[in-house]
Amino acid sequence: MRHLSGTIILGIGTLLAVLGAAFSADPLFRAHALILALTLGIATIVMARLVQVNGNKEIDKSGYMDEPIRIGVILTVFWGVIGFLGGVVIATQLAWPDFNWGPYLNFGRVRPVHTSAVVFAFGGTALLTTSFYVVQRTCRARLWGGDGLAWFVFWGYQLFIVMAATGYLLGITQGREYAEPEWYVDIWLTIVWVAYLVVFLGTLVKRKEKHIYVANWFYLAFIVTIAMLHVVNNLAVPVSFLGIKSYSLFSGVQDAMVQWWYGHNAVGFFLTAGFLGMMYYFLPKQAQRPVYSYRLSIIHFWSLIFLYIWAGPHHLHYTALPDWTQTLGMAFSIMLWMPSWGGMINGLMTLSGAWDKIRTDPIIRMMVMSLAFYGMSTFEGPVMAIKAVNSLSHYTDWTIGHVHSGALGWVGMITFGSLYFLVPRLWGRKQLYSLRLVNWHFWLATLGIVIYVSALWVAGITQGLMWKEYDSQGFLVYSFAESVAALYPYYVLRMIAGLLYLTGGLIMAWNIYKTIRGDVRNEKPMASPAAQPAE
Amino acid sequence: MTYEFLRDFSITWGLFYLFTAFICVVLFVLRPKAKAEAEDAANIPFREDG
Amino acid sequence: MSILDKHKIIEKNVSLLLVGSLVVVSIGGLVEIAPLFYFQNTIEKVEGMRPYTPLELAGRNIYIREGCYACHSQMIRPFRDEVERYGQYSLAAESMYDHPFQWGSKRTGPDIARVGGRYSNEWQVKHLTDPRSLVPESIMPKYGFLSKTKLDFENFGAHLRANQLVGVPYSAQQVENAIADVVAQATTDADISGLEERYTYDERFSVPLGDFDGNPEEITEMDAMVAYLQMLGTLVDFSTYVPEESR
Repeated sequence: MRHLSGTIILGIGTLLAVLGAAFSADPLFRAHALILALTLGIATIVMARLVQVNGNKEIDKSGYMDEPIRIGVILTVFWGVIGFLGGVVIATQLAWPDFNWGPYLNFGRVRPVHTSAVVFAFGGTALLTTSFYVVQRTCRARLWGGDGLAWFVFWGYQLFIVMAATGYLLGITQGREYAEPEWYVDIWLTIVWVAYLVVFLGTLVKRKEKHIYVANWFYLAFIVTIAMLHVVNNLAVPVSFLGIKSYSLFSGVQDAMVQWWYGHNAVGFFLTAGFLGMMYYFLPKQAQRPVYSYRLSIIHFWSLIFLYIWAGPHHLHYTALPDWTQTLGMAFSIMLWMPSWGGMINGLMTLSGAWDKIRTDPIIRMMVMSLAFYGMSTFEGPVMAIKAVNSLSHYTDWTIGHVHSGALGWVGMITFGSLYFLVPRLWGRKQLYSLRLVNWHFWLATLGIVIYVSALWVAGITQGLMWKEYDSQGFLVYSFAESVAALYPYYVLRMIAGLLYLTGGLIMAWNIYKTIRGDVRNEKPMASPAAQPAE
Repeated sequence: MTYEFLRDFSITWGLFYLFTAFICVVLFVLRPKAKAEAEDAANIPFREDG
Repeated sequence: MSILDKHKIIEKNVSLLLVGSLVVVSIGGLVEIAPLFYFQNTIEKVEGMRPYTPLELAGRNIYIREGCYACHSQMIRPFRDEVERYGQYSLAAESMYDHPFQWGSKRTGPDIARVGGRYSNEWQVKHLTDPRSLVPESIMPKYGFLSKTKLDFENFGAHLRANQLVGVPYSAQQVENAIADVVAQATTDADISGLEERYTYDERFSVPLGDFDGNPEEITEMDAMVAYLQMLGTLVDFSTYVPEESR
């Protein structure tokens, strides 16, 4: 009786959630526990129906376990669209504040929904999904731990996302950027994450290849480091065991250091190392040639993970953090430029001898553009980590622009490319529904990013300069409110850029939906066969 | 163990140690024998069965 | 070599990779974080710092709940323009009781590390209720619902106890009288002798008092929020503070 134990566990979970709501110490915990009960209740019903349908049917467990990967691809697209939509909403709120509908839809509560939706829901699901795909293919082994464990990791992570996002809207937050979920959601994620590590390691151990392919190194470093960062940064004492509120273990300056050690390496290991793992597998596969230099990738790996972890203090330049820590953070941030560009060059040079693919294959073009944005933001980052530059850029929209060149450009584009690679293979289709729509997606996304980044770069510099502007008598020229008013056009541009990016995402969703259905669009092929080779 | 001692130690011996470690890693990775292994490993993604 | 032996080496490689990465990613954090707890000069010696009163703590929790940190920093950097605009640059000591810290990373709105006492209670309430009625350029959301929500402070003793556990030096009396202190601080003409006795540090009693939201009928979240805003950056006595040379 497959699914029977799962149904029982989910049922018990639902019951516990109802009990939690009944005995809650505060109204917010009650609301959150009811949401949990509802989610688990629906899952129980779905699971119970599976029990009847499948009965005693045996399923084949000899091949790769691809079912969670198929669902993961669909959910990655779904969370992507939700996350981009959230970004457009808060961009609109910044341009026209009347779009705030308090208390639940005020900027302060929706903003973490946007950041978590893109980083943890879209990015996290993409990493989970692709790591399961890559580790099985490069180890030539089925996921370790039986199907149950992999499914637990997969759905457990989705439950974390739902609990985190609903919590923010209710006002349940730790007030730590990118680590907003409260203590009980953090504990749940820790359990899921350890299970993830176990599945991944187990699969590596039973591999049929002698060597562990480098993409798995990056995935492994991502899993291990995020575990460490998550546990340490979220150490806290809850007020009550059935209440939402906790107080962080660290305070003030130490807390700031721990938080940005976490925050910067959420970028470094979640949004960089994990996605580099993706790049090291899917780019060679799509280009049909091995990575340019495998040995460079090993040096890339060790130097990147060693240097990244030091860079956190550059988020705290000129604050009350001691100077020696700031200086260390700055020095390591600048050094970080080297391994980052090493990785970018390694990726780009993989195409050497096949440069025409950039012209003929829009998926390759997407991956190359993602590496270009990776190179751009990993150059901009060290520049902004220089204290003199940071004195102008910090607290301004320049930082937001920088983050988005990495997130929309690097993380987004490499994920889109990988998804386009995966879908036909996972559903056994000969080709995508439409390559021309991939091309449309590519140009809409690229245009969106360029407008976004340049608008916010100008906005940030405008802000920074207006705040520091003195007149000939030595008085500050602008009030803060005047600097807010000056940003209006850039905030409108940013919203339009977000709309372009969102439109690209919707086109991708349509394209993937049609591909899964097995449709092929009647269209002119992308590269005309009569194209002349370059002379 | 004062602040001054640790600072002096880290910008002399600490720096020397890390730099040496880096050089060793690079030399190890680039040693001639590793070339064949690396080329073999780089082709793992193309060997999947299914 | 038998298959078993081969397998052992492979397993060893996985654990080597795991341990190796863990060691490599631990070094940076250890070097940067551990000394901050160890070096005495990390937090300056100042006079006047005190833990939050229960009402201020409640206000701070609302500040966190609403995500105010996404747009307001509480960390003034030592630059001429920032000091002129916002006041004396912030010290590490000023956030020593902040679990969690709220320095922020973005100024969509101005820094508010020293907003305490800058505006009247009426101004703060009106501004939170409808920011654009006072600052036409403002893009801040409206927080009028705080005035309509009764403050939930029944279990504030437990909140202070949790703070004690993470190192905030609340006394047993302060924990015991948490609820009474909320009422005393947020009510006009209340008997504040107990509050005064419990929250006087260094011969200075610097606790904002009164009916903050203009509604004496009940204690609302607006009372707590304004009480918190009105004490921000006001605690340290800078007339006795001497900056250290190297830090």
